[in-house]
Amino acid sequence: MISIANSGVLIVGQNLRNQVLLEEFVRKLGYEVVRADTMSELKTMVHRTYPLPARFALVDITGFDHTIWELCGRLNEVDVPVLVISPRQSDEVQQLSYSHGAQKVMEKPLVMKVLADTIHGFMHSDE
Amino acid sequence: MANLGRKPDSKGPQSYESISLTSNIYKTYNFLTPHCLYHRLGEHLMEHIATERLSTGVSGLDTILQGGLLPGRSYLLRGGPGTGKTTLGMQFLMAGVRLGESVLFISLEESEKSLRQNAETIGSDVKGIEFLDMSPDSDYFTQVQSYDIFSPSEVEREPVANTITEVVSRLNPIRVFLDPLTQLRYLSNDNFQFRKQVLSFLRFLTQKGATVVVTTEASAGSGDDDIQFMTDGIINLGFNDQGRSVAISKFRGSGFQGRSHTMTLDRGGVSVFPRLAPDSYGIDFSFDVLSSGLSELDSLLHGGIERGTVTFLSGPTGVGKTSLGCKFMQSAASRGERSVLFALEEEPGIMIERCEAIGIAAKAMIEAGTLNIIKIEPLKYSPDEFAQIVRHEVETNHTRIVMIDSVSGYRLSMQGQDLVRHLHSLTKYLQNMGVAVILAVETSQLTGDFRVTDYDISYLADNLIFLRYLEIDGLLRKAIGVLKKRLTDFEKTLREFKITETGIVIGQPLANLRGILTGTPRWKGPEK
Repeated sequence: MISIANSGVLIVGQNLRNQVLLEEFVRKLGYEVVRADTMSELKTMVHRTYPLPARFALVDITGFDHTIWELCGRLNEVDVPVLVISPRQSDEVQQLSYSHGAQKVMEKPLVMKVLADTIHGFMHSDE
Repeated sequence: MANLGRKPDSKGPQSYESISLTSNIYKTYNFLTPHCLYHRLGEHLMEHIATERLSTGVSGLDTILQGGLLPGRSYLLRGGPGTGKTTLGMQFLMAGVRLGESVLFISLEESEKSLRQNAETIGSDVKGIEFLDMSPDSDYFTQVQSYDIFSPSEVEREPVANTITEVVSRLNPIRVFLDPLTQLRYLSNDNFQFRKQVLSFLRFLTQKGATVVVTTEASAGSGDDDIQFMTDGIINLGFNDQGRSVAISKFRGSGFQGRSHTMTLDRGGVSVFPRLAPDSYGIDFSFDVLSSGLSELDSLLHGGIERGTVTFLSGPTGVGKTSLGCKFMQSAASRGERSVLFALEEEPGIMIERCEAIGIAAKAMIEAGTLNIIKIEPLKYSPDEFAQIVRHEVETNHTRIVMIDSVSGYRLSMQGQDLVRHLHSLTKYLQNMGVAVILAVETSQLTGDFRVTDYDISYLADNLIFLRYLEIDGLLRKAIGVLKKRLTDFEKTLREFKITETGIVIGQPLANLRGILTGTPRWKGPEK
């Protein structure tokens, strides 16, 4: 599913319940949400939509193959900062994330207050 | 008959009335099954529960709690899987429904549908109970419902609290049962948060006027010590070698009967059989002398046995202990008094025929209500259950003589427990109630060294009558004598004892025999 908004947060992930929870959370913070629940949805959005309807991306890499790193790199190229959400603490994930342009890596479960501060920070980084 | 703590129309154990209608033998001999007796006793007790207490729905548990739960407080029902926590919670709520109270079952684990089905299997009608089903549905285990992006405490605590608050505010329940509280632990970040949340939650419910019972699932990895400190009372359910048990370990603002008590869980639900506390019972009575109806035996006893005393009928198997005990009962029946014989070994039908064969009109006595013979299967009943049956006979049916036949059978029902302690409690209770107690005490040796009992219980006896086999001139004969009588003097001689077609015959003192207690006496002087 792809939702289009002028400016919002792109949330990427395969677990639908996670996606719903994240969407509700971000909307409560006052931001629009764009969702990519599958790899194909994300590919379509990254390769065919211009400009991307998001200023910031939350990417839960759980369940994706290595292609996700390529798409993270693409998001970085089009000036959408990426926050990688990792299923666990992993040096390898951190290395791959930063090498593909991620601005930050956080491990699950996320603490709501910390995530809120992080999102606010990214969304207002150029003010 | 409304079973204790159960719906009046529940399909519990057969009632006395239904047994009378459906079973000829019960109709003829006025037998009551022990469970039926107990449930009648429970009904009786329920009427006397103080109004300022809330019945748990289980009369035996109310007894242990000295009348029931104190309202507006919180109680912890703890125990491992299968100990009966949820069933007991249901009975607690149903007791409220019967009083027209608003009651609420908050389930965090089991679905409402499953709870209703389980209630049906034990014959409980849960109509009137409001369910707040917060258990996870089957979709939770698919990707659609499961999540890991945030911790459950961050996602679910607020909705859970909001839902409970909304329902409680709407229903204003008098009784709340929450099963299990330990689920809320997963909605807290740490133990400190959990403790604060539980305290706040319990306070919210009790300030709303509810009496709250919560369950916990304690395990080695996750204890419930903190919750034990937070609640006003703790009811522990468990298993021991003898079966299910219940024990109270805390009850703020009230006393309670300590120790472990027998609990059963069957199709009728939970039943609790409080351990007998003899000092709690007593009536004013006089130590009237009760004749045996046999002048020779009365001579041996200087009149008979007294009310409120314990009499041992000691002797080897087949010597005539039961028949002798029945003579006292026959005599009591002639005075219009009721006796009960608890048959722990023999079948009541055989006992009755044996009585009839020696001139004791047992059938007529049973029909007149002056005798009841209750078959007790020793391995089926715990000492606490047996004590409740005895109490019912004494307190409800006004039984004046109780015979336990035999101590060996009673010992079997101990299943390894302390025979002396339980028998002491039971006989002391009966004594306090002015009941004459007759214990058939079997000795293992037919002849030879004299022993009163094979167990260390002789101190319990106020009166000790013994029967012996004798071998005289190659013939097997019997003798009877009295060894002890606390309240009066007694005849120190031995007499010959016979059971004939016309009844029990006791002869004159065996004055010329010596060495009777050896089992092989010899004549002194001319043979008589």
